[in-house]
Amino acid sequence: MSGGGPSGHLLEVHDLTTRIATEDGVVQAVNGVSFYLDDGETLAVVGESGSGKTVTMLSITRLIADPPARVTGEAWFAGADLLQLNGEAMRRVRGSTIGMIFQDPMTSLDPVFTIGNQIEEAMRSHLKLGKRALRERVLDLLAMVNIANPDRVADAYPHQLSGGMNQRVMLAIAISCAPRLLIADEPTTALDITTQAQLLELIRRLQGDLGMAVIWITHDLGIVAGLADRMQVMYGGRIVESADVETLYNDPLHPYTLGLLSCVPRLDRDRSDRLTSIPGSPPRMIDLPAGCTFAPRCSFRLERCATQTPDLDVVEGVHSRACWAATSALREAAR
Amino acid sequence: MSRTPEAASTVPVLELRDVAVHYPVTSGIIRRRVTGAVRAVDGVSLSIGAGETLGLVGESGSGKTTIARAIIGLVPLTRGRILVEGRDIRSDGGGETLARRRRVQMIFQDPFASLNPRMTIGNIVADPLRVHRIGTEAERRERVRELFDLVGLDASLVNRYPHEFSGGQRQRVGIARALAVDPMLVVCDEPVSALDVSIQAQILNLLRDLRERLGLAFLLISHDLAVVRHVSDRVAVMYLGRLMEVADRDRLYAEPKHPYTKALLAAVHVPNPAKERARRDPPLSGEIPSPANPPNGCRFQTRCPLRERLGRPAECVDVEPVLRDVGQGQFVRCHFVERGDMDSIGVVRPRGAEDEGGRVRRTLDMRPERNAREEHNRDEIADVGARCN
Repeated sequence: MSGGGPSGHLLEVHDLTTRIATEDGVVQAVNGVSFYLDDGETLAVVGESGSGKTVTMLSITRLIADPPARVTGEAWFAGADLLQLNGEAMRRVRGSTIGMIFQDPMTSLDPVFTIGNQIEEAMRSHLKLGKRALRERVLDLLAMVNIANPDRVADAYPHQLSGGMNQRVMLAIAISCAPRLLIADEPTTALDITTQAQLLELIRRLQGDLGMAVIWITHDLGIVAGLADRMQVMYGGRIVESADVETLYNDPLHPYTLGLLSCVPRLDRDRSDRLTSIPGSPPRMIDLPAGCTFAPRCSFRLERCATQTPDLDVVEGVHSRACWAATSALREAAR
Repeated sequence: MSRTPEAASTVPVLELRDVAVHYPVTSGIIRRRVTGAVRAVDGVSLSIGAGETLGLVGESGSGKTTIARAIIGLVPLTRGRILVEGRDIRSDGGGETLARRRRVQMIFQDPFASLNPRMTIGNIVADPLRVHRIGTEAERRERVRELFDLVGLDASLVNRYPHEFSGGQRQRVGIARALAVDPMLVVCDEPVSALDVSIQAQILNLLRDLRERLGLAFLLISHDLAVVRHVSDRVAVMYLGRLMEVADRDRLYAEPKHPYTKALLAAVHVPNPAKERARRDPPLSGEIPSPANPPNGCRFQTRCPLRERLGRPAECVDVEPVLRDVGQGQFVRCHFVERGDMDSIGVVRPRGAEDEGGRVRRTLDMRPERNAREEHNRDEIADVGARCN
C-alpha cells in the first residue's frame, strides 16, 4: 500500500499544536508534537490525564471544535493533509479509513437506536450496500467481535448489553469499513480485568486479520507492553520519550518514563514496602512552566531545565527523548 | 456453615457474620411489586484484626462495594450481623451506636464527588468532630491543623474550597476527614483508582505511613491486584456475593488455589514486554453473571476452567462448595481444590523460577475447552434474553 505522507509513512504528524480558548485562559493542550506510523504497525501513546494524548488524536481526526480550539501543523494520512481537508472529505476519512473506539461505550452509543442500526449507520455513509447486504454484514461484524448471538444482539438496545459487550459493538462499528488505522483511546479502562483481557486479545487478533495499524492511547504501561511495536510517552502536551517497546521498558532515558515504571506496584516484581513516587502533580495546561514542563517534579533537574525546553532528540535508532540530564545518570538510577 | 476465616490471635476490630445484602427488584408502574432480589452480598463471614489490612478484590458485580456500604451503615442488612470490637453496630441504643460507628470511617473512590463543594476543606475535615460533638471550636481547629499535617496538606489551606485542589490533594482531604474521629478501622473503596498514575503512589505510601503511625486497621477494596498486594496483610477474593478464597497475602499471590483467583492473577498485565508477549488466550471467557440470577451450585461454575478440565463434574452444579480451610490460614470455596494443583490441569511453573519463600508467581495455562465457550455463549444469549424482557 502507498504511504500517506511525504516520507512514505501511513501517518505523519508534523509540529502539531493545539490551543483551546477557555474562560480561564488558553489551554496549551498540544505543543509541537511530531510522530509517524507505518501500515500494520502498533503505536502506544502513554500519558496521564492532561498530557495531551487524547487531544492529539482528536486534533488529527478533526473531532475537536475549531473554535474554541486552534489546531496548527500537518497530519498526513493516506496522501492528504487531514488538517487541510474540507468537512465532507474529512467525514469520508473518519469512520472508513480511520476507525475509532473510546473509553466509555455507554456514552458513545445512542440509547434509542438498536445495535444493528448503529452499526449500519457507519456503513450506510461509507459503503454502497443494499438493505440485505447491510444486515448480513452487521451479523458478520458482530460474529467477528465474538458476540455469540448476532441476530439477537443486533436487535437489542445498548442498555440491554453489558459494558464489555457494548465495547465489542463499538469495535464492530470501528472496523465496519475495514479501516487502515484504528485509534483506540483507553477502550478497556472502564472494563473488568477479565473482560479487558478478552477485548485486548480480540483487537490484537482483528489487527492481524485486517492488517490495520493501531494507535493505543492509555495510561497503563501494563496493557500495551505486549501489544505495541513502538511507544511514545507524553507529558504536558509534548512527547518526552519515544522508542521501540523493549527499549522503552528496559532502558528508559526520560525521568518521567522512569518514574511511571517505578511508581506503580507490580506483580512481576518482588513486593517493596514503599513505592517510589513522583512528587507534585501534573502541570496546569493554562500556565505551563517555562523550560521543561516536567522540571518542577524532576529529581534529575539541572539549572537550564527551568529556562530551556529540551527538544526530542535521537538517542539511538528510533529511541528519542527530550531531556537535558545525562543518560548515564538515568541509567544509574534505573539500576 | 463454614468456619469464619479469622485473623490469628487478635480481638477482631470488625467481624462480619453471615452478612447478606439483597436489593429488591421491582416491576409494575402503577403498583410496584417486588419480583426478585439482587443478591449483592450473600453470606459473607470475615474478620479484621487490630492493625490489620485486609484486601477485598473482585470484579464489578462481585458485591465488594456493597460490603463497604453495609459496614458503614449505608445499606440495611438482609441477614447476618456486623460487629465492631465485638458489639453489634445495630442492636445497641442510639447514642452508643453513633459512638461505635465512629470507630469505622470510610475513604471514597472519587475525590471530586465525595467532598462538599460549598464547604472549605477545613470545615470538611472538622465536620465529623461536630457530628460526634468532640471538643470545643478552638480544639477542633487545632485538631484539623494536626490532621492536615498528618496527611501532608499545608495547614494554611484550611479556608480553601475543594475545586482549588488536584485529585491527589482532595484524596488527602478525604483521608484527613476519615481520621478526624480516631477510627480503629478505615474502609477504603478503590482509594486510588480515580487518581493519575503518578499520584497513586503518593496516596498508597501515605496510607502505609498512617497505618504504621496510628496502628489503624484497613479494609481495602480494589479491583487492582497489584495495589492490593502492595498494601494488604490478608486478601479475600469475592465473586457474585460470595467469598471464593481468603488467604495471607504472600500465600494468595504465590499459591492461589481457587480457579477464579488464578484467573484474576493471570489476567493482570505487567509492564514487561517479554512476559506480555508470551501471554496466551485470555484466562476466562464471558462475563460475571447477573447477581439477580446467580448460577446453581458453585457460582463460578459457568466460567470455571478447572471444571472444564475435570470433564464438568455434576457436583459443581448440584452442590455449592463451602469455604474450606485448606491449612496455613487459606480458605477456598471449591470442591476440587486438591485437583487444582495437578500439573495435568495446567498449573505450570516458570522455568528456572525458584521458590523464594513463596514469592514464585506461576504461569497459568487455563484455556477453557471449546465447549466451555459455547456453553458460556448460551448463557450470554439467555442473559440478553432476560434483559430484553
